Amino acid sequence: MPLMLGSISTFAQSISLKGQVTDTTSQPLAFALVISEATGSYVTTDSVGLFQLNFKSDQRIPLEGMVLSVSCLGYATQQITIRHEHFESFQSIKLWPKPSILEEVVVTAKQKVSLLLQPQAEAVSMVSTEHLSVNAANINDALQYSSGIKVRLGGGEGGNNQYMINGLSGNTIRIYWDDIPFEYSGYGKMPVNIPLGFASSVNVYKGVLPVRFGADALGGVIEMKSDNANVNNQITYEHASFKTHKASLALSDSIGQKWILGMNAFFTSSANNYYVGKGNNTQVFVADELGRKQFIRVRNFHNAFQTYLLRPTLSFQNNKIKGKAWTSYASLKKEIQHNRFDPTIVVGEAFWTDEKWALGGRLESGPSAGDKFSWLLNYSYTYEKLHLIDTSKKAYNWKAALIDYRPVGGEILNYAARPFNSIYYIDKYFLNGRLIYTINKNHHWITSSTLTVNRRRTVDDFRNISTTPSRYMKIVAGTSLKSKFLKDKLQNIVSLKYYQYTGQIAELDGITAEPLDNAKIDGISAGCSEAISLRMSDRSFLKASYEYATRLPDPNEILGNGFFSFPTIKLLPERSHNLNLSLTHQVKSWVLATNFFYRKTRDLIILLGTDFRNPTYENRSNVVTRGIEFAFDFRLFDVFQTQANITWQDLRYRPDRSDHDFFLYNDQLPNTPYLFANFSLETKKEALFNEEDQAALRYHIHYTHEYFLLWKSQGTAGSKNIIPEQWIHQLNLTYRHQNFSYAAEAHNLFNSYAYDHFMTQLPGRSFHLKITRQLFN
Amino acid sequence: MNKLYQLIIICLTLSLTSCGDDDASPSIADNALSGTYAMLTNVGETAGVQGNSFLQVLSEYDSTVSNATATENTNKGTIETYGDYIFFAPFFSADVKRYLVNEDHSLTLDGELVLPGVADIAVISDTKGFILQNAFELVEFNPTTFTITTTISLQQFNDKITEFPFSRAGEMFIRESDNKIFIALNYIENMTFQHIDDEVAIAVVDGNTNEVEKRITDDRSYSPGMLIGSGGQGFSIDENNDIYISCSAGYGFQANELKSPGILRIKSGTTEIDPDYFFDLNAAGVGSSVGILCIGGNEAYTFKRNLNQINDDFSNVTIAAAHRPVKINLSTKSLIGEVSGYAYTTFLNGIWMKPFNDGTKCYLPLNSDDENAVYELDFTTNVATKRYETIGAVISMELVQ
Repeated sequence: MPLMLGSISTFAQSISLKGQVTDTTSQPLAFALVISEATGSYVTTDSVGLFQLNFKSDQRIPLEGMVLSVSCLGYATQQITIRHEHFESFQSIKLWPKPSILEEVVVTAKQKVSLLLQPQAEAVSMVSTEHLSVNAANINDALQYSSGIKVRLGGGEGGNNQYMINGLSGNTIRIYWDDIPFEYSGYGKMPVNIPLGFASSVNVYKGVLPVRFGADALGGVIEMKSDNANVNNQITYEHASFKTHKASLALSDSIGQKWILGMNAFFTSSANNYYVGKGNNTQVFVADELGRKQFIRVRNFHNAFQTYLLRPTLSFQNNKIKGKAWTSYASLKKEIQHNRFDPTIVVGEAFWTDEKWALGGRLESGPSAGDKFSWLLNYSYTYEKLHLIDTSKKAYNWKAALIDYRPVGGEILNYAARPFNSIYYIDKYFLNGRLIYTINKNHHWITSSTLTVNRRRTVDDFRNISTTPSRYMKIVAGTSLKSKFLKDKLQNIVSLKYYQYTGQIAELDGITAEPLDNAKIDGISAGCSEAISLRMSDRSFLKASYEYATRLPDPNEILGNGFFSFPTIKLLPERSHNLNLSLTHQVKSWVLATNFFYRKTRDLIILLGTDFRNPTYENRSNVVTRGIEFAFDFRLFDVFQTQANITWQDLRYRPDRSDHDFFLYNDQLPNTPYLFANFSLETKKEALFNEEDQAALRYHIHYTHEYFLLWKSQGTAGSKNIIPEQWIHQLNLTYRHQNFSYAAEAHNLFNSYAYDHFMTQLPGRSFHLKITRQLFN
Repeated sequence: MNKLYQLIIICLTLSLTSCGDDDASPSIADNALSGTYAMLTNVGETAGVQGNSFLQVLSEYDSTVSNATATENTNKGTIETYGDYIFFAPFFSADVKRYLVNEDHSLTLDGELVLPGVADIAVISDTKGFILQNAFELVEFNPTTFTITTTISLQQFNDKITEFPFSRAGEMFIRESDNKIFIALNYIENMTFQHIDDEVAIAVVDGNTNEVEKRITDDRSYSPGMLIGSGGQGFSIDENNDIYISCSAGYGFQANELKSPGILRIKSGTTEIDPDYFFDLNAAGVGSSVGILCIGGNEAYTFKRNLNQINDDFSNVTIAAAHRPVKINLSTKSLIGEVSGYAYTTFLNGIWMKPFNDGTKCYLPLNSDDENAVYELDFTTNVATKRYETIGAVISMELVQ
């Protein structure tokens, strides 16, 4: 792909670039999006695929030519370079169908234009994955540097991560991979383990969620997509600090005219033995000979992590129908270093494993199935075996020394003496169907229904557990009308959603050991949303959206996770009012985007230790969130591409007057970052050593303002537990030559003390070397 | 004028001499806490946050006591005051803390011991205190230097443990007259907390020699003391130096119907359970109860479990079972009457009764969904009166008088 950092020219006069977008059968494509990467100008094609892109005389275009990015619903995005001498010519652009035809018209993250320029009515952020796919990066890295998003890290490879979008986090955020909820997608246990090279784009929906997801998320959706064939053939290897090795393979190749065979695979292994303690860490200590506390700095000694995945796919298509079938096996093992909530409780032997066998696929209408209707069906089945082994009677300290023998096994809960040898067998079913009806060129109607079924049973050496499986089923259905007015300047989406869940808990009550057989659960709810986008000029968008959203309890919340939470039949769905208002404006090479958000959530589902023997999820929190985020993209001295963003969010606890903790009314929600920012600087150089190479240097800074671990209003300032202010620097150097990419990186460059969830210390400085080989190009 | 100088010199000399005397015999028991209340309140377990506690010293209180001047801790626990110090023993994390109480009643962290799984803490003197670890160790420590002196193993009492059920040494009581330490032993199924043992078991340790003497048992009831330490509230000593032991027969949940909750006695000067004394609480119409406070005249208070309040939606007994104090006669083994002016408190955040020095009243908590408060119970009228409301449940409290 040419890099547009060379000579620049301007037009002598205003000029128009004209052309037509068609499919491979020369059928015109309406509503295709044509974007000039150099200027950010864009236009959509008319009903016969024609477009006209106007440029003003002061707009600067590289002499090598202009890169156009052309995308359309159901077709792979094309990027073409139009040289100066061809500007006067009529451009005929053909798009190739891609496996999914029911995508919304989105700008893929591969584009060079600012990712802030999104025409959709929903509040959506595109996250760049292009350069990250050859970097030592994962989905967390891709999201961490985006505005309004905070990744709550659990400490090194395999740690427990949570994503916070505009103030909401945890299960209120849904993660999708190729239109399937991640836990049903056959990609293993954690999104963070997936090599970014598998994804062609990452989209983050804040607030209003498109009906097509069939999702019951409360605060947003992170959508990862792998449909772009450009990234689907590569092999990578990474070696990093803390004895970390990562490898991945992505292959796809055509078999004849109609079949494509693909394979995704990855392997990660890490000792995860980074240093913890000292500095401002008060959690890592041992006793001296007189029992007094001594703070120390040591390596993690029981924190290793391994995972791997195999996922072959087979795709086919003809003019009327297309389809894909996949199967996968994923395995994971994670040692546990300390109690998640209390790092002073050291663990030396406990670990957990997870195995998933899955199969699934999708069927959808082909390109010539009809002009008016298109449809899609996604389905999957997953069999999961989750195993926690915590039986050791040995007690370790942070120096990995054996200091005691407990009378009963179980390290994680310390002397509460609860050993676990728990195996959860889980069957998961997922089915989603969508139908799109094109009323006319300005109006589209889409309906979507999703069914998920979760069935599980538990075996535990230390507990008498019912062998009768529990089951839980959710249905989420929705319909929306997407319309365009004022010559496409105004886009409006109105939606209605329906939620229903039902289930039966057969497991034992944690207290009485009595079965909860026939303890039935059920409920219904409804939601609605309205999103509007106004293109005020070629360079300005104004968007406003509102959604009354519902999130149904997750299977883990209803049925318990088998380890630290127990079944409950009392849960109600969470509900929220979500309001987003955003303005995006471009001035030459500067793009500024602002987003104001407001969330009012009721009955948030949280895990409480009210009964320490029998922790269950409960509806407890009402929270009001206000916030604003600013994001800038700009070029500096025509050499550096610079991105900066800052997010401020104010989360306030609003219990009901009848709640026993009403005295906390309007207190700032604890253990929640409220001010964070990112700054990135990037420069590229083509033809560094020869005509075909490219080098890039990137520098990232991530800032998190200090925040309280516990309630702000309680306790004296001097005694508060504080997650300290953090500045995390990262330096990336990549070099591409022909089919090889090399990345050398330093993460947490200055070895800063970094913390997140419950004061779990994050890794210090680490070095990464990664090599990527593009295949079959 | 000369007389004035002479007077000043005499005063200075006296004051310096006085300081010198203090330095010569320092005692952390000479405290500035007199007339104050050290209080540990629990706040949290909302919005995804684990419960945490706040420690503060109060000499006065308003109608509502906030945590504005309290010191934050990340765990629940129990406290013990001694001299100018408050010792905070968290129930699950690994560090026992000593706080120095400043003149303005603010707290300064002044030492930490690494001792996981603490159940109870008690200070005997400037140089001797004990910390009970629920995994069957008794740790002697020096309160002045705040260092561990020695560790006394109680592992011999683990003989009833199989792989799954476990033992819990939940509470200790130190008889000051001879420094005998009585430790309640409970043998429990660890997930349901159902008792696997059908007798009362108490370990006896000599606090002078640190010798583990024996285990004394009695099969007329079971589950002695409190599951988690709360200032010795499962034991109480009367004016005759007789120790009375509350045996709840199941802590308000998973009660074993085969045996009655009751009260046992260890007579003054002995270390055996009195075979001639058993107060059958079922027979007296009291029923299951926890805690005991002897108030003299053969009378005592205990927290009676309210059977009408303990069933949740699934007819399961919950740990948040409601309790309220009742007055009982230890001699006639009868119920005197329920306390008026007091609703119900939950077991979860601790049940305790702290007597005033004059022996006519005590403080006790009321922790419920409706209120968190400290009540004053008048022994004579048998009426409880709310003294003040608190921000968060009052887990533990020490009165320094």
